[in-house]
Amino acid sequence: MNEKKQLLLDIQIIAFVVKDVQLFLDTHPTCEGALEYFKYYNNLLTALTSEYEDKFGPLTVYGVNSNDGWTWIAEPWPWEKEA
Amino acid sequence: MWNYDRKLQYPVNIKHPDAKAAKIIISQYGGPDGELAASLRYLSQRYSVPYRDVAGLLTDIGTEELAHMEMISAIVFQLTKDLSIEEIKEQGFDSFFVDHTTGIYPASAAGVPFTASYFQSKGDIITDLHEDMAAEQKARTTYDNIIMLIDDPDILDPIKFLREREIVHFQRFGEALERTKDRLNCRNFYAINPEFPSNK
Repeated sequence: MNEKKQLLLDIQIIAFVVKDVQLFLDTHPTCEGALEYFKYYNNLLTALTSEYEDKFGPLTVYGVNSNDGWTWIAEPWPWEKEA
Repeated sequence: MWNYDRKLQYPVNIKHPDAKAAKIIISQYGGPDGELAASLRYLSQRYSVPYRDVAGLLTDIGTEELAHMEMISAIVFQLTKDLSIEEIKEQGFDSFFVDHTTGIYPASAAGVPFTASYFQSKGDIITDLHEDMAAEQKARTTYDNIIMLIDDPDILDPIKFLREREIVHFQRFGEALERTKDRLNCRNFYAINPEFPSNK
C-alpha cells in the first residue's frame, strides 16, 4: 500500500474512533475516560488530516490551498473504483 | 449545515462486478429499512426534542447514516460499473436498467421507489426513540439477510461494518430512552409525551 492510501486508511480508522466516542459521549457526557479518549484521538485526527492535506490535497473544502488551483476536484471521488 | 468529507466512513473496493448482488444491496439505500430512511428519520425527529443530549444523538446518528448511504451507493455503483448489456440481462439487472441505466436510484430490492412513509416523526420523543430502536434492529436483520445471500468478501467486508453500526446505534438509542424517562415528572408514570408543553 502506498503512503497516500495508508495515510487515508489511518485517517478513516481514527475518524471512526472519534465518531464512535462522539455518540458514546452524547449519552455519557460526564464520563472522564471517554472525554480523555476523545481529546487524544481528536488531536491525532487533526494532525493526520493536516499531514494528508499538505502532501496529497484537500479532504474538506477548508483544506484547499487555492494557490495550487482548484484542487477540490482534482483527485478521484471516494466512491470511484480503484484503477 | 453539513460539509463533505472526501472519504468513505469505511473503504469500499469491489473487484468483481455483480449486478445481481447490486439489485439486492440497493434496498439498504432506498428500501423500507435502508440508510436513507434512517437518516431522514433521525434528522427530522431531532428539532422538537426538548433534551439537548437526545437532539445531539439524533443529529450525530442521522449524520452517520448519510455516510452509510454513501457506502451503500458506492457498493452498488462499483458492482454495476463496466457491465455489458449481456451481463445486465443475464444477471437480472434489466428491470432496473430500463429506468435508471446504471444510475444510483433509491428503491427497494423489489424496485419500489423510496417513500417517506417508511418512517415517522411523531413529535413525541418516547414514541420516536422506540421507532428508532426498532429501525436499527430491522436494518440489522436486513444486513443479516444480505450476508446470507452474498459470498464475495469484497462486498461482505463493508456490509459487516454497517451491520455492526446498527447494533451500536440501537444501544445508544436505548440509553437516550433511559435518559429521557429519567427526566419525566414523577407523576408522569405512563410516560405521556414530554414534547408537548402541557405534559412537561
